[in-house]
Amino acid sequence: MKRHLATEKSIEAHQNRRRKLAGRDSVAPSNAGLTKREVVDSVKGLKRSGYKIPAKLKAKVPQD
Amino acid sequence: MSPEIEMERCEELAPKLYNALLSLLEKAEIDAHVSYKIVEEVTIHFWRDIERLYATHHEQIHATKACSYLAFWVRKLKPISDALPIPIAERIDGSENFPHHAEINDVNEQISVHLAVQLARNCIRDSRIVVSDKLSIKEALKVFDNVTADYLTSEFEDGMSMGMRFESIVYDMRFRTFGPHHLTHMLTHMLREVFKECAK
Repeated sequence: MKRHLATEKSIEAHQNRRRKLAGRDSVAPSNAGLTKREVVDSVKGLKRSGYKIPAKLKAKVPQD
Repeated sequence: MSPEIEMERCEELAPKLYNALLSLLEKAEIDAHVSYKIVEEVTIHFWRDIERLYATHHEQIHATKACSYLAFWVRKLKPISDALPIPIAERIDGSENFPHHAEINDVNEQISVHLAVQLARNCIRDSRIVVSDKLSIKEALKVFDNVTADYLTSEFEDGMSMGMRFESIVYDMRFRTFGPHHLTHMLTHMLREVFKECAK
């Protein structure tokens, strides 16, 4: 089997590509990105919520 | 993260989460015990994840992930116990007559789904997730409520699903491998529908 070995040249090309992409991949879209303070505030604001549990999902009393 | 900061965060978040869980139980018409000590553990582990996400995602945490990770730790550490439908709990006369048949044994899974959805709803309310540039926040929340209720209560006649989608998710959370990313998928699907409905 022919092996494809990494060479100085191929590694350099790969690293250049990485540097170019750094910071671009895996960044959350700005529309939905939260700071740590915003995460804390979200949890702290949990109590005041208008969320309603759908009637079908409320506890059911089992029938004997 | 230093132990001091971890404790500070725990003291800041645990009472709020504890109250939020009690409030969700009431909305679900469930009477149950919530362990404050386990709620503290939930917030500690949640915050460790947030710190990690903060570092790997270049100082931004996707809102759906923040919602999912908190709900995941509730599902994982299970702070809620002794859950019964309120009308049954009100009739109990001493522990010898505990109605085991009526115990809601998947209460942690159920409440954690509601917690994730509630957090996502709050993100829209506080403009941390913008679902529409046409609708007001009040209108967008109405769309969100309709979409999420439909999503969770929908049933399929495909012979492979068990009851409502909510029941299917709760079953998987309980008996299958279930990570925070599964909840993230669920919230992302819901939000996509909300985006679509808002654009109509």
